Amino acid sequence: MQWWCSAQDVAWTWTWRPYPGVWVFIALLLLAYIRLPGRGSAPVRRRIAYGVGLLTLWIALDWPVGALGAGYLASVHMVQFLLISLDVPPLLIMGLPRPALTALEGHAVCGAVRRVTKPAVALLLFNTVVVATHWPEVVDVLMASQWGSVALDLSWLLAGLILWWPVVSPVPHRPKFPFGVRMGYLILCTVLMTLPYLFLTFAELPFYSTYELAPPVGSLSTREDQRLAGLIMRIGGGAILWSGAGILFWLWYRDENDPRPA
Amino acid sequence: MNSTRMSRTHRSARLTCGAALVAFALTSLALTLSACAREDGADTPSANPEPEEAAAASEDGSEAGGGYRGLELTQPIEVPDFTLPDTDGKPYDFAEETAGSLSFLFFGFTHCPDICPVQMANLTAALGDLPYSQRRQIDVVFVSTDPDRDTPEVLRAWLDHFDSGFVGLVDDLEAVNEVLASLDLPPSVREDIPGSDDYRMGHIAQVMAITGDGLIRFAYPGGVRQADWRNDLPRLLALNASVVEASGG
Repeated sequence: MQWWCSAQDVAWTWTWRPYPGVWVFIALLLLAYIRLPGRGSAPVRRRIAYGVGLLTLWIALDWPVGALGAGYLASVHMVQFLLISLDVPPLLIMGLPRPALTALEGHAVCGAVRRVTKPAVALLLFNTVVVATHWPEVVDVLMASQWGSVALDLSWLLAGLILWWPVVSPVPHRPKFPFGVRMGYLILCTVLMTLPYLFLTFAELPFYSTYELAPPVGSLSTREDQRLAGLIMRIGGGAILWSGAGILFWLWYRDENDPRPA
Repeated sequence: MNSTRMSRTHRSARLTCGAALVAFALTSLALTLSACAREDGADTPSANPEPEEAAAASEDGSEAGGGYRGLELTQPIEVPDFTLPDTDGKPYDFAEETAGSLSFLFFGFTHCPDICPVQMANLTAALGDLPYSQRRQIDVVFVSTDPDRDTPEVLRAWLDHFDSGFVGLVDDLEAVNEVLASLDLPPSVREDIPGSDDYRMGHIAQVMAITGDGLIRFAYPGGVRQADWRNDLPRLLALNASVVEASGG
Protein backbone atom coordinates (compact mmCIF):
# COMPACT_ATOMS: atom_id res chain seq x y z
CA MET A 1 0.00 0.00 0.00
CA GLN A 2 1.41 3.35 -1.03
CA TRP A 3 0.66 5.98 1.64
CA TRP A 4 3.23 8.59 0.53
CA CYS A 5 4.57 9.37 -2.95
CA SER A 6 7.87 7.66 -3.72
CA ALA A 7 9.63 6.31 -6.81
CA GLN A 8 7.77 3.36 -8.34
CA ASP A 9 8.80 0.73 -10.83
CA VAL A 10 5.64 1.15 -12.89
CA ALA A 11 4.75 3.19 -15.93
CA TRP A 12 3.07 6.51 -15.25
CA THR A 13 -0.68 6.67 -15.83
CA TRP A 14 -3.10 9.52 -15.27
CA THR A 15 -5.28 7.25 -13.16
CA TRP A 16 -5.79 8.81 -9.73
CA ARG A 17 -4.09 7.09 -6.79
CA PRO A 18 -4.74 7.75 -3.11
CA TYR A 19 -1.95 8.68 -0.70
CA PRO A 20 -3.54 8.49 2.77
CA GLY A 21 -0.34 9.50 4.57
CA VAL A 22 -0.50 12.89 2.88
CA TRP A 23 -4.13 13.36 3.93
CA VAL A 24 -3.32 12.45 7.54
CA PHE A 25 -0.38 14.90 7.56
CA ILE A 26 -2.52 17.75 6.18
CA ALA A 27 -5.35 16.89 8.59
CA LEU A 28 -2.91 16.98 11.53
CA LEU A 29 -1.65 20.42 10.50
CA LEU A 30 -5.24 21.62 10.23
CA LEU A 31 -6.13 20.11 13.60
CA ALA A 32 -3.05 21.70 15.20
CA TYR A 33 -4.18 25.09 13.85
CA ILE A 34 -7.70 24.65 15.16
CA ARG A 35 -6.28 23.90 18.63
CA LEU A 36 -3.99 26.93 18.66
CA PRO A 37 -4.86 29.54 21.27
CA GLY A 38 -6.30 32.73 19.84
CA ARG A 39 -7.24 31.16 16.51
CA GLY A 40 -10.84 32.29 16.85
CA SER A 41 -9.85 35.92 17.27
CA ALA A 42 -7.26 35.83 14.47
CA PRO A 43 -8.03 38.18 11.58
CA VAL A 44 -9.57 36.51 8.52
CA ARG A 45 -6.49 37.28 6.42
CA ARG A 46 -4.35 35.17 8.80
CA ARG A 47 -6.76 32.26 8.57
CA ILE A 48 -6.84 32.59 4.78
CA ALA A 49 -3.02 32.66 4.68
CA TYR A 50 -2.81 29.45 6.70
CA GLY A 51 -5.54 27.81 4.59
CA VAL A 52 -3.85 28.72 1.30
CA GLY A 53 -0.52 27.47 2.69
CA LEU A 54 -2.08 24.18 3.69
CA LEU A 55 -3.83 23.79 0.33
CA THR A 56 -0.57 24.49 -1.53
CA LEU A 57 1.22 21.93 0.63
CA TRP A 58 -1.47 19.36 -0.13
CA ILE A 59 -1.16 20.02 -3.89
CA ALA A 60 2.63 19.66 -3.69
CA LEU A 61 2.51 16.36 -1.80
CA ASP A 62 -0.48 14.53 -3.26
CA TRP A 63 -1.24 13.00 -6.69
CA PRO A 64 -0.36 14.00 -9.39
CA VAL A 65 2.34 16.54 -8.46
CA GLY A 66 3.73 14.46 -5.59
CA ALA A 67 3.73 11.22 -7.54
CA LEU A 68 5.28 12.72 -10.70
CA GLY A 69 7.93 14.55 -8.69
CA ALA A 70 8.80 11.56 -6.56
CA GLY A 71 9.56 9.14 -9.32
CA TYR A 72 9.23 10.40 -12.86
CA LEU A 73 10.26 13.99 -13.60
CA ALA A 74 13.03 16.05 -12.02
CA SER A 75 11.29 19.23 -13.21
CA VAL A 76 8.13 18.39 -11.23
CA HIS A 77 10.32 17.44 -8.25
CA MET A 78 11.71 20.98 -8.44
CA VAL A 79 8.22 22.49 -8.54
CA GLN A 80 7.48 20.49 -5.37
CA PHE A 81 10.64 21.84 -3.76
CA LEU A 82 9.70 25.44 -4.54
CA LEU A 83 6.15 25.03 -3.29
CA ILE A 84 7.10 23.22 -0.07
CA SER A 85 10.15 25.24 0.91
CA LEU A 86 9.47 28.71 -0.48
CA ASP A 87 5.72 29.12 -1.02
CA VAL A 88 4.10 27.27 1.87
CA PRO A 89 6.25 28.35 4.88
CA PRO A 90 5.63 32.12 4.76
CA LEU A 91 1.90 31.50 4.40
CA LEU A 92 1.83 29.11 7.38
CA ILE A 93 3.88 31.52 9.52
CA MET A 94 1.73 34.51 8.54
CA GLY A 95 -1.35 32.50 9.44
CA LEU A 96 -0.27 31.83 13.03
CA PRO A 97 -2.44 33.72 15.55
CA ARG A 98 -0.40 36.19 17.59
CA PRO A 99 -1.73 35.03 21.00
CA ALA A 100 -0.39 31.54 20.29
CA LEU A 101 3.07 32.94 19.62
CA THR A 102 2.91 35.13 22.74
CA ALA A 103 1.91 32.11 24.81
CA LEU A 104 4.92 30.20 23.54
CA GLU A 105 7.34 32.87 24.76
CA GLY A 106 9.71 31.45 27.33
CA HIS A 107 9.18 27.83 26.31
CA ALA A 108 12.35 25.78 25.77
CA VAL A 109 11.43 24.93 22.17
CA CYS A 110 10.97 28.60 21.41
CA GLY A 111 14.48 29.26 22.65
CA ALA A 112 15.73 26.73 20.12
CA VAL A 113 13.53 28.28 17.42
CA ARG A 114 15.00 31.70 18.26
CA ARG A 115 18.52 30.36 17.88
CA VAL A 116 18.00 28.61 14.52
CA THR A 117 16.04 31.52 13.06
CA LYS A 118 18.82 34.07 13.49
CA PRO A 119 19.32 35.27 9.90
CA ALA A 120 22.87 33.95 9.42
CA VAL A 121 22.03 30.59 10.97
CA ALA A 122 18.74 30.31 9.06
CA LEU A 123 20.42 31.13 5.76
CA LEU A 124 23.15 28.58 6.39
CA LEU A 125 20.70 25.88 7.47
CA PHE A 126 18.35 26.43 4.54
CA ASN A 127 21.08 26.37 1.93
CA THR A 128 22.71 23.33 3.51
CA VAL A 129 19.37 21.52 3.24
CA VAL A 130 18.96 22.72 -0.37
CA VAL A 131 22.37 21.37 -1.37
CA ALA A 132 22.02 18.13 0.62
CA THR A 133 18.53 17.35 -0.66
CA HIS A 134 19.57 17.87 -4.27
CA TRP A 135 22.68 15.71 -3.96
CA PRO A 136 22.18 12.78 -6.40
CA GLU A 137 22.99 10.00 -3.94
CA VAL A 138 20.68 11.51 -1.32
CA VAL A 139 17.79 11.99 -3.74
CA ASP A 140 18.14 8.51 -5.26
CA VAL A 141 18.20 6.81 -1.86
CA LEU A 142 15.43 8.86 -0.25
CA MET A 143 13.00 8.86 -3.18
CA ALA A 144 13.14 5.08 -3.38
CA SER A 145 11.25 4.60 -0.12
CA GLN A 146 8.17 6.20 1.34
CA TRP A 147 9.92 7.06 4.62
CA GLY A 148 12.79 8.57 2.68
CA SER A 149 10.36 10.63 0.66
CA VAL A 150 8.65 11.81 3.87
CA ALA A 151 12.06 12.79 5.25
CA LEU A 152 12.85 14.81 2.13
CA ASP A 153 9.49 16.61 2.10
CA LEU A 154 9.62 17.39 5.84
CA SER A 155 13.20 18.62 5.63
CA TRP A 156 12.14 21.06 2.88
CA LEU A 157 9.21 22.28 4.95
CA LEU A 158 11.26 22.72 8.12
CA ALA A 159 14.10 24.43 6.25
CA GLY A 160 11.57 26.76 4.61
CA LEU A 161 9.98 27.63 7.95
CA ILE A 162 13.43 28.43 9.36
CA LEU A 163 14.31 30.55 6.31
CA TRP A 164 11.11 32.59 6.35
CA TRP A 165 10.79 33.06 10.13
CA PRO A 166 13.13 36.07 10.40
CA VAL A 167 11.53 37.61 7.29
CA VAL A 168 7.96 37.38 8.52
CA SER A 169 9.04 38.02 12.16
CA PRO A 170 5.69 36.88 13.49
CA VAL A 171 6.32 37.09 17.25
CA PRO A 172 4.76 40.20 18.76
CA HIS A 173 6.82 42.21 21.25
CA ARG A 174 10.04 41.00 19.64
CA PRO A 175 11.99 43.50 17.55
CA LYS A 176 11.73 42.90 13.82
CA PHE A 177 14.81 43.09 11.65
CA PRO A 178 14.99 46.29 9.60
CA PHE A 179 13.34 46.06 6.18
CA GLY A 180 16.66 46.55 4.40
CA VAL A 181 18.23 43.61 6.25
CA ARG A 182 15.31 41.35 5.45
CA MET A 183 15.39 42.31 1.78
CA GLY A 184 19.14 41.74 1.61
CA TYR A 185 18.66 38.37 3.31
CA LEU A 186 16.21 37.18 0.63
CA ILE A 187 18.35 38.49 -2.20
CA LEU A 188 21.42 36.77 -0.74
CA CYS A 189 19.44 33.55 -0.66
CA THR A 190 18.78 33.78 -4.41
CA VAL A 191 22.54 34.12 -4.93
CA LEU A 192 23.32 31.07 -2.77
CA MET A 193 20.76 28.96 -4.61
CA THR A 194 22.71 29.55 -7.81
CA LEU A 195 25.07 26.65 -7.09
CA PRO A 196 22.58 23.78 -7.44
CA TYR A 197 21.00 25.59 -10.39
CA LEU A 198 24.34 25.69 -12.21
CA PHE A 199 24.94 21.99 -11.61
CA LEU A 200 21.48 20.99 -12.80
CA THR A 201 21.34 23.22 -15.83
CA PHE A 202 24.81 22.76 -17.21
CA ALA A 203 25.57 19.14 -16.29
CA GLU A 204 26.37 17.00 -19.31
CA LEU A 205 24.85 13.84 -17.85
CA PRO A 206 21.73 13.17 -15.83
CA PHE A 207 22.37 13.41 -12.09
CA TYR A 208 19.57 11.30 -10.69
CA SER A 209 19.16 7.62 -11.52
CA THR A 210 15.60 7.92 -10.17
CA TYR A 211 14.60 10.08 -13.13
CA GLU A 212 17.05 8.72 -15.69
CA LEU A 213 15.75 5.17 -15.31
CA ALA A 214 12.11 6.01 -14.67
CA PRO A 215 9.49 4.97 -17.20
CA PRO A 216 9.24 7.98 -19.51
CA VAL A 217 6.48 10.57 -19.19
CA GLY A 218 5.89 12.86 -22.16
CA SER A 219 8.50 13.66 -24.75
CA LEU A 220 11.15 15.37 -22.61
CA SER A 221 14.51 13.61 -22.58
CA THR A 222 16.17 13.05 -19.21
CA ARG A 223 18.71 15.77 -19.92
CA GLU A 224 16.02 18.26 -21.01
CA ASP A 225 14.00 17.44 -17.90
CA GLN A 226 17.03 18.09 -15.69
CA ARG A 227 17.80 21.40 -17.42
CA LEU A 228 14.18 22.41 -17.02
CA ALA A 229 14.46 21.56 -13.31
CA GLY A 230 17.47 23.87 -13.04
CA LEU A 231 15.63 26.68 -14.81
CA ILE A 232 12.56 26.23 -12.62
CA MET A 233 14.80 26.47 -9.57
CA ARG A 234 16.45 29.62 -10.86
CA ILE A 235 13.45 31.43 -12.32
CA GLY A 236 10.75 30.13 -9.97
CA GLY A 237 12.88 30.37 -6.83
CA GLY A 238 14.14 33.80 -7.85
CA ALA A 239 10.61 35.01 -8.58
CA ILE A 240 9.35 33.94 -5.14
CA LEU A 241 12.29 35.40 -3.22
CA TRP A 242 12.36 38.64 -5.24
CA SER A 243 8.60 38.96 -4.79
CA GLY A 244 9.18 38.64 -1.05
CA ALA A 245 11.82 41.36 -1.24
CA GLY A 246 9.43 43.50 -3.31
CA ILE A 247 6.64 43.17 -0.75
CA LEU A 248 9.08 44.12 2.01
CA PHE A 249 10.13 47.18 0.01
CA TRP A 250 6.49 48.21 -0.39
CA LEU A 251 5.84 47.76 3.34
CA TRP A 252 8.98 49.78 4.09
CA TYR A 253 7.82 52.56 1.78
CA ARG A 254 4.36 52.50 3.36
CA ASP A 255 5.84 52.71 6.86
CA GLU A 256 8.12 55.58 5.90
CA ASN A 257 5.18 57.55 4.52
CA ASP A 258 2.80 56.74 7.31
CA PRO A 259 1.87 60.05 8.96
CA ARG A 260 0.84 58.29 12.18
CA PRO A 261 3.45 58.17 14.94
CA ALA A 262 5.33 54.85 15.12
CA MET B 1 -11.44 33.57 34.96
CA ASN B 2 -8.48 35.27 33.38
CA SER B 3 -5.96 32.95 35.01
CA THR B 4 -7.96 29.91 33.80
CA ARG B 5 -7.87 31.24 30.25
CA MET B 6 -4.16 31.94 30.55
CA SER B 7 -3.44 28.44 31.83
CA ARG B 8 -5.48 26.96 28.96
CA THR B 9 -3.56 29.17 26.58
CA HIS B 10 -0.27 27.95 28.03
CA ARG B 11 -1.42 24.33 27.85
CA SER B 12 -2.43 24.74 24.23
CA ALA B 13 0.84 26.45 23.47
CA ARG B 14 2.76 23.62 25.10
CA LEU B 15 0.75 21.10 23.07
CA THR B 16 1.74 22.96 19.92
CA CYS B 17 5.38 22.96 21.05
CA GLY B 18 5.06 19.25 21.71
CA ALA B 19 3.67 18.77 18.21
CA ALA B 20 6.67 20.67 16.83
CA LEU B 21 9.01 18.40 18.81
CA VAL B 22 7.20 15.31 17.51
CA ALA B 23 7.54 16.63 13.94
CA PHE B 24 11.31 17.08 14.40
CA ALA B 25 11.59 13.64 16.01
CA LEU B 26 9.60 12.07 13.15
CA THR B 27 11.93 13.69 10.62
CA SER B 28 14.98 12.29 12.39
CA LEU B 29 13.32 8.88 12.64
CA ALA B 30 12.40 8.91 8.98
CA LEU B 31 15.98 9.81 8.03
CA THR B 32 17.34 7.03 10.23
CA LEU B 33 14.87 4.47 8.89
CA SER B 34 15.62 5.33 5.30
CA ALA B 35 19.34 5.04 5.99
CA CYS B 36 18.76 1.63 7.63
CA ALA B 37 16.66 0.46 4.70
CA ARG B 38 19.52 1.39 2.41
CA GLU B 39 21.99 -0.61 4.50
CA ASP B 40 19.80 -3.75 4.53
CA GLY B 41 19.07 -3.45 0.86
CA ALA B 42 15.52 -4.29 1.85
CA ASP B 43 14.09 -1.09 0.57
CA THR B 44 16.37 -0.24 -2.29
CA PRO B 45 14.67 1.07 -5.41
CA SER B 46 13.19 -1.73 -7.43
CA ALA B 47 13.19 0.60 -10.40
CA ASN B 48 16.92 0.34 -10.83
CA PRO B 49 18.48 -2.72 -9.33
CA GLU B 50 20.42 -3.49 -12.41
CA PRO B 51 22.93 -0.65 -12.44
CA GLU B 52 24.03 -1.92 -9.07
CA GLU B 53 24.42 -5.37 -10.59
CA ALA B 54 26.32 -3.84 -13.45
CA ALA B 55 28.49 -1.90 -11.05
CA ALA B 56 29.05 -5.05 -9.03
CA ALA B 57 30.05 -6.86 -12.17
CA SER B 58 32.47 -4.09 -12.96
CA GLU B 59 33.99 -4.33 -9.54
CA ASP B 60 34.17 -8.08 -9.85
CA GLY B 61 36.16 -8.20 -12.99
CA SER B 62 35.42 -6.16 -16.03
CA GLU B 63 36.53 -2.91 -14.41
CA ALA B 64 39.93 -4.49 -13.97
CA GLY B 65 39.85 -5.78 -17.55
CA GLY B 66 39.58 -2.45 -19.35
CA GLY B 67 37.31 -0.37 -17.15
CA TYR B 68 34.04 -1.48 -18.78
CA ARG B 69 30.80 -0.99 -16.90
CA GLY B 70 28.81 -3.45 -19.00
CA LEU B 71 28.69 -7.12 -18.13
CA GLU B 72 31.56 -8.82 -19.92
CA LEU B 73 30.80 -12.30 -21.17
CA THR B 74 33.48 -14.68 -19.98
CA GLN B 75 32.89 -16.70 -23.14
CA PRO B 76 31.84 -14.50 -26.08
CA ILE B 77 28.84 -15.88 -27.97
CA GLU B 78 28.84 -16.09 -31.74
CA VAL B 79 25.81 -14.48 -33.36
CA PRO B 80 24.24 -17.05 -35.67
CA ASP B 81 23.33 -16.11 -39.21
CA PHE B 82 19.84 -14.69 -39.33
CA THR B 83 17.91 -12.61 -41.77
CA LEU B 84 14.72 -10.73 -40.89
CA PRO B 85 12.77 -8.08 -42.82
CA ASP B 86 13.57 -4.48 -41.94
CA THR B 87 11.00 -1.66 -41.69
CA ASP B 88 11.19 -1.18 -45.48
CA GLY B 89 10.36 -4.85 -45.98
CA LYS B 90 13.83 -5.64 -47.30
CA PRO B 91 15.69 -8.69 -45.93
CA TYR B 92 18.36 -7.67 -43.43
CA ASP B 93 21.19 -10.17 -43.12
CA PHE B 94 22.56 -9.30 -39.70
CA ALA B 95 26.03 -10.84 -40.09
CA GLU B 96 26.57 -9.32 -43.52
CA GLU B 97 25.21 -5.86 -42.67
CA THR B 98 27.14 -5.47 -39.43
CA ALA B 99 30.40 -7.15 -40.42
CA GLY B 100 33.34 -5.07 -39.24
CA SER B 101 31.17 -2.66 -37.24
CA LEU B 102 30.46 -2.40 -33.58
CA SER B 103 26.77 -3.17 -33.27
CA PHE B 104 24.14 -3.19 -30.56
CA LEU B 105 21.31 -5.69 -30.74
CA PHE B 106 18.16 -5.27 -28.66
CA PHE B 107 14.93 -7.22 -28.54
CA GLY B 108 11.91 -5.21 -27.42
CA PHE B 109 8.58 -3.69 -28.40
CA THR B 110 7.26 -0.21 -29.00
CA HIS B 111 4.41 -0.47 -26.46
CA CYS B 112 6.93 -1.30 -23.72
CA PRO B 113 6.29 1.26 -20.97
CA ASP B 114 9.63 1.16 -19.21
CA ILE B 115 12.76 -0.84 -20.12
CA CYS B 116 12.75 -0.43 -23.93
CA PRO B 117 12.29 3.34 -24.14
CA VAL B 118 14.74 3.94 -21.28
CA GLN B 119 17.40 1.67 -22.80
CA MET B 120 16.98 3.25 -26.23
CA ALA B 121 16.92 6.80 -24.88
CA ASN B 122 20.09 6.35 -22.81
CA LEU B 123 21.95 4.65 -25.66
CA THR B 124 20.80 7.37 -28.08
CA ALA B 125 21.94 10.14 -25.75
CA ALA B 126 25.36 8.57 -25.29
CA LEU B 127 25.77 7.97 -29.04
CA GLY B 128 24.88 11.60 -29.61
CA ASP B 129 27.87 12.62 -27.50
CA LEU B 130 30.29 10.81 -29.80
CA PRO B 131 32.00 12.61 -32.65
CA TYR B 132 30.42 11.79 -36.02
CA SER B 133 33.49 9.82 -37.13
CA GLN B 134 32.95 7.40 -34.23
CA ARG B 135 29.17 7.41 -34.33
CA ARG B 136 29.15 6.16 -37.94
CA GLN B 137 31.12 3.09 -36.91
CA ILE B 138 28.21 1.86 -34.79
CA ASP B 139 25.01 0.05 -35.83
CA VAL B 140 21.97 -0.23 -33.61
CA VAL B 141 19.52 -3.00 -34.49
CA PHE B 142 16.16 -3.29 -32.73
CA VAL B 143 14.19 -6.51 -33.22
CA SER B 144 10.50 -6.28 -32.36
CA THR B 145 9.08 -8.98 -30.13
CA ASP B 146 5.52 -7.75 -30.68
CA PRO B 147 4.76 -8.20 -34.40
CA ASP B 148 0.99 -7.90 -33.84
CA ARG B 149 1.24 -4.25 -32.83
CA ASP B 150 4.65 -3.31 -34.22
CA THR B 151 3.90 -2.90 -37.90
CA PRO B 152 6.91 -1.72 -39.93
CA GLU B 153 5.42 1.80 -39.96
CA VAL B 154 4.86 1.86 -36.20
CA LEU B 155 8.34 0.55 -35.48
CA ARG B 156 9.95 3.00 -37.92
CA ALA B 157 8.15 5.96 -36.36
CA TRP B 158 9.12 4.82 -32.86
CA LEU B 159 12.80 4.35 -33.78
CA ASP B 160 12.89 7.68 -35.61
CA HIS B 161 11.93 9.29 -32.31
CA PHE B 162 15.36 8.19 -31.10
CA ASP B 163 17.53 8.07 -34.23
CA SER B 164 16.50 7.60 -37.84
CA GLY B 165 19.70 5.61 -38.38
CA PHE B 166 18.57 2.78 -36.10
CA VAL B 167 17.59 -0.39 -37.91
CA GLY B 168 14.24 -2.00 -37.06
CA LEU B 169 13.45 -5.64 -37.83
CA VAL B 170 9.93 -7.09 -37.76
CA ASP B 171 8.84 -10.66 -38.39
CA ASP B 172 6.43 -13.12 -36.84
CA LEU B 173 7.11 -14.02 -33.24
CA GLU B 174 8.13 -17.55 -34.11
CA ALA B 175 10.95 -16.30 -36.31
CA VAL B 176 12.11 -13.84 -33.65
CA ASN B 177 12.04 -16.54 -30.97
CA GLU B 178 14.13 -18.77 -33.22
CA VAL B 179 16.80 -16.07 -33.29
CA LEU B 180 16.60 -15.78 -29.51
CA ALA B 181 16.85 -19.54 -29.10
CA SER B 182 19.92 -19.64 -31.35
CA LEU B 183 21.49 -17.13 -28.94
CA ASP B 184 20.56 -19.35 -25.99
CA LEU B 185 18.14 -16.70 -24.78
CA PRO B 186 14.59 -17.23 -23.50
CA PRO B 187 11.72 -16.63 -25.93
CA SER B 188 9.50 -13.57 -25.83
CA VAL B 189 6.09 -14.36 -24.44
CA ARG B 190 2.81 -12.54 -24.32
CA GLU B 191 1.70 -11.57 -20.82
CA ASP B 192 -1.92 -10.47 -20.45
CA ILE B 193 -2.50 -7.56 -18.10
CA PRO B 194 -5.18 -8.61 -15.58
CA GLY B 195 -8.43 -6.66 -15.81
CA SER B 196 -7.56 -5.23 -19.19
CA ASP B 197 -7.57 -6.20 -22.86
CA ASP B 198 -4.00 -4.95 -23.04
CA TYR B 199 -0.92 -7.13 -22.91
CA ARG B 200 2.83 -6.85 -22.52
CA MET B 201 5.62 -8.86 -24.07
CA GLY B 202 8.03 -10.49 -21.69
CA HIS B 203 11.48 -10.15 -23.19
CA ILE B 204 15.14 -9.97 -22.27
CA ALA B 205 16.13 -6.49 -21.18
CA GLN B 206 19.78 -6.30 -22.16
CA VAL B 207 21.40 -4.59 -25.08
CA MET B 208 24.05 -6.86 -26.57
CA ALA B 209 27.32 -5.37 -27.79
CA ILE B 210 28.68 -7.25 -30.79
CA THR B 211 32.09 -6.67 -32.27
CA GLY B 212 32.81 -6.75 -35.99
CA ASP B 213 33.83 -10.43 -35.87
CA GLY B 214 30.27 -11.41 -34.96
CA LEU B 215 30.83 -12.11 -31.28
CA ILE B 216 28.63 -10.85 -28.44
CA ARG B 217 31.16 -9.64 -25.89
CA PHE B 218 29.18 -7.43 -23.49
CA ALA B 219 25.61 -7.16 -22.24
CA TYR B 220 23.99 -4.00 -20.88
CA PRO B 221 21.03 -4.85 -18.67
CA GLY B 222 18.09 -2.56 -17.93
CA GLY B 223 19.26 0.13 -15.54
CA VAL B 224 22.46 1.03 -17.38
CA ARG B 225 22.94 4.77 -17.26
CA GLN B 226 24.20 7.29 -19.80
CA ALA B 227 27.40 7.65 -17.78
CA ASP B 228 27.99 3.91 -18.20
CA TRP B 229 27.51 4.14 -21.96
CA ARG B 230 29.73 7.18 -22.15
CA ASN B 231 32.42 5.24 -20.32
CA ASP B 232 32.12 2.10 -22.44
CA LEU B 233 31.48 3.34 -25.99
CA PRO B 234 35.05 4.54 -26.71
CA ARG B 235 36.44 1.34 -25.16
CA LEU B 236 34.12 -0.82 -27.25
CA LEU B 237 35.11 1.07 -30.41
CA ALA B 238 38.79 0.53 -29.59
CA LEU B 239 38.14 -3.15 -28.86
CA ASN B 240 36.24 -3.49 -32.13
CA ALA B 241 39.07 -1.89 -34.09
CA SER B 242 41.61 -4.29 -32.59
CA VAL B 243 39.35 -7.31 -33.12
CA VAL B 244 38.70 -6.41 -36.75
CA GLU B 245 42.38 -5.75 -37.35
CA ALA B 246 43.35 -9.07 -35.76
CA SER B 247 40.84 -10.94 -37.90
CA GLY B 248 42.24 -9.23 -40.99
CA GLY B 249 39.01 -7.33 -41.68
